[in-house]
Amino acid sequence: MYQDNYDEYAGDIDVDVVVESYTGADEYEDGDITREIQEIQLQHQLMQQKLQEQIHMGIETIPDQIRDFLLFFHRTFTQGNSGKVAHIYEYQFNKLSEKYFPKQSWPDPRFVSALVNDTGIFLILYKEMYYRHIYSKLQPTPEERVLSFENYCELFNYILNSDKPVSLELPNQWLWDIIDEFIYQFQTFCSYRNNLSRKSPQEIELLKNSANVWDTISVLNVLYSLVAKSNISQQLDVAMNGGDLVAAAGEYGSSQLYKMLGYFSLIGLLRVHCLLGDYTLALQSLENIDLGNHRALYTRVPACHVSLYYYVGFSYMMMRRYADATRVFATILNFVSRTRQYQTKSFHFDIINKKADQMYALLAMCMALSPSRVDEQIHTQLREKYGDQQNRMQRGGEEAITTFQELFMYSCPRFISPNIPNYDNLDSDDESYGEGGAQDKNKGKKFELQSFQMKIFIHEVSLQLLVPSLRSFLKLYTSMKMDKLASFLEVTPTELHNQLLVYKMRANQLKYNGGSSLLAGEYSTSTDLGFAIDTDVVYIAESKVGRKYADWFIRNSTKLLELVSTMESKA
Amino acid sequence: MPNTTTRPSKRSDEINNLINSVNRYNPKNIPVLEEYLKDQCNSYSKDSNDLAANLALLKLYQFNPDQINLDAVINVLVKALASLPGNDFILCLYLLNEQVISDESIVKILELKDLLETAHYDTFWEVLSSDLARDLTSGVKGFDDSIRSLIANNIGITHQSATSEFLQLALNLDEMDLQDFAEQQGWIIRSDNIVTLPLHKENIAKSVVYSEQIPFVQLTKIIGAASEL
Repeated sequence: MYQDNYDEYAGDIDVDVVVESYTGADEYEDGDITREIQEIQLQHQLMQQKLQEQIHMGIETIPDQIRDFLLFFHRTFTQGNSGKVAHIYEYQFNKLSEKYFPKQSWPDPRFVSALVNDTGIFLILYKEMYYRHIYSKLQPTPEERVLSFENYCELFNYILNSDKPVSLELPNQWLWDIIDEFIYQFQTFCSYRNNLSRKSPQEIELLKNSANVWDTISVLNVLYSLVAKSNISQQLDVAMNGGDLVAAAGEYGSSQLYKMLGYFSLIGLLRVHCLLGDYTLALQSLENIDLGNHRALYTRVPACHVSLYYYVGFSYMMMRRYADATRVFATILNFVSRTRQYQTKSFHFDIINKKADQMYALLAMCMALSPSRVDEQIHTQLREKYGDQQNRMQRGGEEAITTFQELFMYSCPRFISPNIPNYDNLDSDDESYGEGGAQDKNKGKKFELQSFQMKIFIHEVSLQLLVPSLRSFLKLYTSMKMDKLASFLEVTPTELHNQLLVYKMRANQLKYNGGSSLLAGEYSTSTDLGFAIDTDVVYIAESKVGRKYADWFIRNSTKLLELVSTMESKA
Repeated sequence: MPNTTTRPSKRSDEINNLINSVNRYNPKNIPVLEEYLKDQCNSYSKDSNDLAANLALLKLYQFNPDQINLDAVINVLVKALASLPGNDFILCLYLLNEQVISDESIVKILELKDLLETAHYDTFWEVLSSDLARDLTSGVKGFDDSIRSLIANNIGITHQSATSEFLQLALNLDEMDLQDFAEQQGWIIRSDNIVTLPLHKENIAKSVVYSEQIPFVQLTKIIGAASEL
């Protein structure tokens, strides 16, 4: 009985509430509501229509040749004709970019999607190219930076979160560009994010709301995931040390797409670690990639080849392994100068040349820190480009340090900070950085990132700068009294003694001597000048380069060949 | 000389797996690596410095600046000092930031490092005797001895003989201690107070002739061409 009452009671209340909340409904007749729904539907239809029209108009604005190109590109892509896709990607797209869009973006992806009637992977890849074009030719807006990141997420999700390997085949060049651009955009976003001067409150708000965008850990995560998915480390290990390649590759690793993405991600990791100042991890990423192999995978994409050597050489230099850095730079510069004639067509030509020029600067520094001999051709080029700077660095003193700084700033990568600045606490954050006006502080802050790595490197350099002309004096004698030598150099005998100890210490460098890890090596003396102190006398011996038999052998072989052919023609 | 690629005998499987996987980015591992650092500081042997593990710790600090433990940073750097003239120290430095290296105690360690690297050994010992420097290095067992052996090593590759005054100052040893030390190193103290050091490849001024090494593979093309004639 009680129960029933309760139910009734409860029911009453419910009804009351419902009635109360619907009291407003009394004002409307049934017809009104239907009319309103109809109106909304109409409005929706209108909007759809408008959107359709907009898209239609958008498509109309696309130049004919581009429209044909996009349709052709889409058809070739869906047919899976990888050879043709490569041609379109490497040549036609860039040619059309130059002709139609030198200072504006490619057609809006929405229009393109409607044009080719595709919203799948083709659209994601088109967007990848679309944003890349904006980054290279225009200034990306904050929104575009975020959208481009989201597009990369979509792309990598598509590839990584699939039950079985996706059947997609892309040219190596494109795969390299995807990884390369992904890191490049990450890098520019980091400096954009940390440079808070002249940012509007809206921009700061956008940055605050997208803390996950271009987050360092997620970028590393993508690269590590691609490496793990492709079993690339195991594949390289087997390729180097023998074993079952198919078993090592696994389901995903056997597909070209995964294998190459994994491989390029290793080089991507080298780069990201280097940008973060972690040179050990940088070189560790390249375990089992053989730098001496002429047929290694990285040689398939010239931009990748050059980038790889640049970051390896730079890491070696920062690690004080100047002899190794010199060897790496000399190898790649030789390659660049020999292949220059074939490269002119490639759109990476300018990038490669710029990198090569930076590497000459790096090489000049390494040679000043640890004199050694390089290939004749490289030597000539180096004198031509950086002869003045080389002389200044050798002369020592304040001038040498400034020259080192200039060359370093010109040739170093743009370092990044892994963390997000505190957007709310800008003022107090600024206080810890130098003095001067608000803008100066921010400038100083941006500069600081570059300068921290440089500061440590330059300090390192300053410790080992020798008394100018110490080397040239040593080379003149085979034995010499310490105090006499000191008076020639216009320093105190103790100072000279210090310098000789420092020279010895620095000449003893860790040097790579083969093997799977670029970090490994043996300590050995890398100098062309040997000396020893016998209490107060220093004994000196200069090393010499022996005869070059191989060169002689090859020259005479060709001579003989010519001789034989002339004799044969006369016979 | 140990380097980052070889695994020190003291490194446990747990640490080894940690630093060789993506797990190394997990800030929860900071205490684990700090604990391991303590072990390294408490033991004195040539391979007691595990650079790879300590770099992993500094990396976690780099990503999580709010969790930086300055004492741990100091210990990593002092430990790395003893491995000079190797590159351990500078690799650690690159992972720090402006604020950290401006700290008074870190500045002191940097000063010590510079003195060692510019071979100002007598000044080094002088600075080390200050209260602050003593305090900083006290956490690392056997610090003085390892520094002494690295200085002796560098003198050994530069000198064939040296005055005992110089050696006493450079190694911070009195006459008696130098005698013991010289015995360990195989140095001979002569009656005229000159110490002769054993000769080896590095401390003999001998002219080396570099001859080129051409691997046979590089000649295969020309030999192949020759056989076609």
